[in-house]
Amino acid sequence: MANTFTLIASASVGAGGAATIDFTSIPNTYNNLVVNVFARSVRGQTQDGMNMKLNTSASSFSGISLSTIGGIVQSNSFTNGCGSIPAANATGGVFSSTSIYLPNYTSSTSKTYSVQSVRENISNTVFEIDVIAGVWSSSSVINAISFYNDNANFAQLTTAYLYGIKNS
Amino acid sequence: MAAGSTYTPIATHTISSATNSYTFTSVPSTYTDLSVVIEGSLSGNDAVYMRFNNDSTSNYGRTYMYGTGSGYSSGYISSETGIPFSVHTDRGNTIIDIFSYANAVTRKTVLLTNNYLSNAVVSTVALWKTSNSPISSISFSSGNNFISGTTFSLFGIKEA
Repeated sequence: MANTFTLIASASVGAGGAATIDFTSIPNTYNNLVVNVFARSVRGQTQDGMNMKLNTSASSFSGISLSTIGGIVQSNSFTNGCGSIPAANATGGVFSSTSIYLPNYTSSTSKTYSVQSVRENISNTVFEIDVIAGVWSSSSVINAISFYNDNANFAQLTTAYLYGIKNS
Repeated sequence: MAAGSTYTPIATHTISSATNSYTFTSVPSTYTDLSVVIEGSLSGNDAVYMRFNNDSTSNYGRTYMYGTGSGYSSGYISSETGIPFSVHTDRGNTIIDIFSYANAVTRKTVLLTNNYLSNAVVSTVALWKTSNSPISSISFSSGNNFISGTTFSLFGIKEA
């Protein structure tokens, strides 16, 4: 029986923060990838936007979202965003939870992905839930995944885990 | 002590010639939950219906919400002949979780996320509402054909 949902790599941000979270040299021996990110930004606001690059590129992305922010529902089109994360002015110790599923990441077709992200802010009830459908219009095998924010570095204790899934 | 295997691949199928259906048969009863991942496209924009144990009668219900990138909506369907989700001619994916599928005492619940940029991002909660039967087969059918390269993967998840 094959083991699957195998941890490929993990990343953790130390004191001083980090501009990016990077997974490189991703093996092409799985069928699907899952990345789980637990994140916070040092931006001097309550939130920041988190984005994804594939193979160091932020180009050729398309996405649509269904979101609720503080109870207000909206749907937007965008490029490589992966939802919002709490920042320095949000309730202390609160991090977002984001899960990204990338099926068939080694195929020669465009890469589709699914994002589910939640951001909580206990002090003023401004929370956010994002469900995102995305496409990276590249025929390249995904060999690197990185995350960066719109405005500021990731805070200490931000962590991310990359898993590989085999379908046989 | 190393953890046992979980999220175990049960079956996978890649469409090699156009067909409008695929069925996972003889699903083992030895897991707790199931997960299905479908990635690919259809020859024409259409609904794909998921059904359990060949039940195509009006035994399914669902609540859904979706966003198109410019609008959003939600709804409830109390009775239909399967659990539908949209598949379009551009590539997308559908991730389906089926909980406690092997017991013979409860209705079977489903969480489904459907992602096609040309259509919408959709979240659905569904119920196979009139049967307590363990799920032994899962079928997918559409009025259009699945494009070659479309993949269907079934995973089993054990609680312990």
